[in-house]
Amino acid sequence: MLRFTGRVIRDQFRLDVDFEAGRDEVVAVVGPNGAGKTTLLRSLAGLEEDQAGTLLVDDEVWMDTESGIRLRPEQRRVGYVPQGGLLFPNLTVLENVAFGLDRTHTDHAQHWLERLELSHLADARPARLSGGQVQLVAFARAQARRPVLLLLDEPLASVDVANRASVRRVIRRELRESPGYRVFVTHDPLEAAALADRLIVLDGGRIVQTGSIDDLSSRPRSPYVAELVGMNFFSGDARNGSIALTSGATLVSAAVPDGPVLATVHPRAVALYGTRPSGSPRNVWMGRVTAIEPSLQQVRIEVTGPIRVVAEVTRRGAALFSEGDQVWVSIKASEVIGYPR
Amino acid sequence: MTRLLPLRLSLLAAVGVALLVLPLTGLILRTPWTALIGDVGDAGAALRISAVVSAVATLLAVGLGIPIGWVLARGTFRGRSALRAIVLLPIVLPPVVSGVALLASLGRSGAVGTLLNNLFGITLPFTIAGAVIAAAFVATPFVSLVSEAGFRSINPGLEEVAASLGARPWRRFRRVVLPQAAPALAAGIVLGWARALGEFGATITFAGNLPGRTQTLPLAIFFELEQDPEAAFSLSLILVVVSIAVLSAARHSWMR
Repeated sequence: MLRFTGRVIRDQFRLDVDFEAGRDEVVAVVGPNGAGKTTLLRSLAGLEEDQAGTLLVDDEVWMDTESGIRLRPEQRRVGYVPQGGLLFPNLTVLENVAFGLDRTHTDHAQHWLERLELSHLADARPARLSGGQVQLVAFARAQARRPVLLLLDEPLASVDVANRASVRRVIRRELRESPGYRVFVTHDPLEAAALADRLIVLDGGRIVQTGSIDDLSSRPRSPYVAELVGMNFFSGDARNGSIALTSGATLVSAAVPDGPVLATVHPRAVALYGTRPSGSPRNVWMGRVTAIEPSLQQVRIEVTGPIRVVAEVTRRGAALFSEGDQVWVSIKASEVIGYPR
Repeated sequence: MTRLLPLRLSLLAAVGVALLVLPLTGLILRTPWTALIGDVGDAGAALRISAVVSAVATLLAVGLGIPIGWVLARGTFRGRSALRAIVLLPIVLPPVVSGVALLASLGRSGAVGTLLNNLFGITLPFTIAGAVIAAAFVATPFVSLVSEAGFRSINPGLEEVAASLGARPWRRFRRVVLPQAAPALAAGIVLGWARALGEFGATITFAGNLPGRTQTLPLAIFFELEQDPEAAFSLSLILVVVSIAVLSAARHSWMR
């Protein structure tokens, strides 16, 4: 078990977190820019100057500032892959991977290059490598020392789109097979979903929610998490299946406990019509299209009215609407999922 | 591209180049080529003293100036800019003032000078050691200045990665920082050495002009100018050739 209860205070910024990680899971730290993701990763590596708190890794105390214990980075058995890889430009690929090894163990470096299919680059200088290759070499360099704690900062950010899938596949496989604790930082929920078992959502220097991607999508606890997983998110007070939202409007839900609640609606469950829909949907109101945002397969349409919602429709369906249109919004009560706040 | 250069800038540049080239041309024209070897032979002592003084002063300047550059580049303490100003002062100080300052502190009646004399029987002024100190005093800031810029250009993230890979501070410095700063350090060393070799004002003030003991090549040239101008021209040419050789070597191997 790894347990970190730490604070970093720097100028105007304050990071204050408390979490655990197991050897059986890959943990992603997600959050918006400036949330403190990199700071969290760096404090685990011992690279942040002004940090306080405790860090326990198995039965080793890496930090306990109350007792004056703070292992320096070189004393912690970490594998740190900073954003962009940061290879030593004056060393070859093989020398980079062997940097953390005793002279007698340079065959480990060879082994790691073979394992990540980089052997043909052994004598190359970092300047000649692509973003994806740099990332994998940096990964091999960190792994060659068999770290207890592997830390990756935005492992795919500097990899171009064409290589991203293959690099992600390699990193995913290696993360699965690493024996130690594994924590990586990303701003991309898709990357987190692809690589991690559990997400730690950081916002403003604090952990706002942790859980699997399924936990987060089914029960987001803050607007940011809802946005991250792409769900419509509401907060209000429920009574007999009716949620009085803080905005004053009401949503009807087929399954909601009484009391203060949060609720989600999947954007695909939001139906839009040009005329008042017939049938039995319990939530119907009229609004105005305020934004149309196409992506590859779907189009997200934001409708503002008594309740602001985002609907996800096919590209063909989206062609029926344009910004400023009056539309009818309809949501089935069974699609409004409420849970205690 | 050259079309974009304003004509008046080009003309001023040409005048500037003439200002730099003319004196050297004049020196070459006046050099008594037939007497060259004899003149240089007569100045053997000054040559040797200059070689020793500039070499030892450069070693001192490198050994002390590079650590100063490192501290200035990576230190996070209060008063760093004040420290930088103090370190760079000898560059802008008139050399004779540096010499006077050295006399005031390390001279026989100076605070440190008295101490050195009483405790160890060491006297610096008007000795070759004094000439070394004077040259190192003016050369060290160049090494600090250029090496600080070199250290600064290295991404501190690389040292952090090295630390995470188990490298202690000294190993990080040796294996990550030094190799990358090498071109800048080499440039700093060349500048420092050139400054030490050409030192005149501080040397004559602090170490005097004792032929065979503290008279370096620049001092010898200056005093030959009164007695034997031809010899002064010969010796000057030697320094020009040495300087050009060092500059081109530096350009070829380090400053690419």
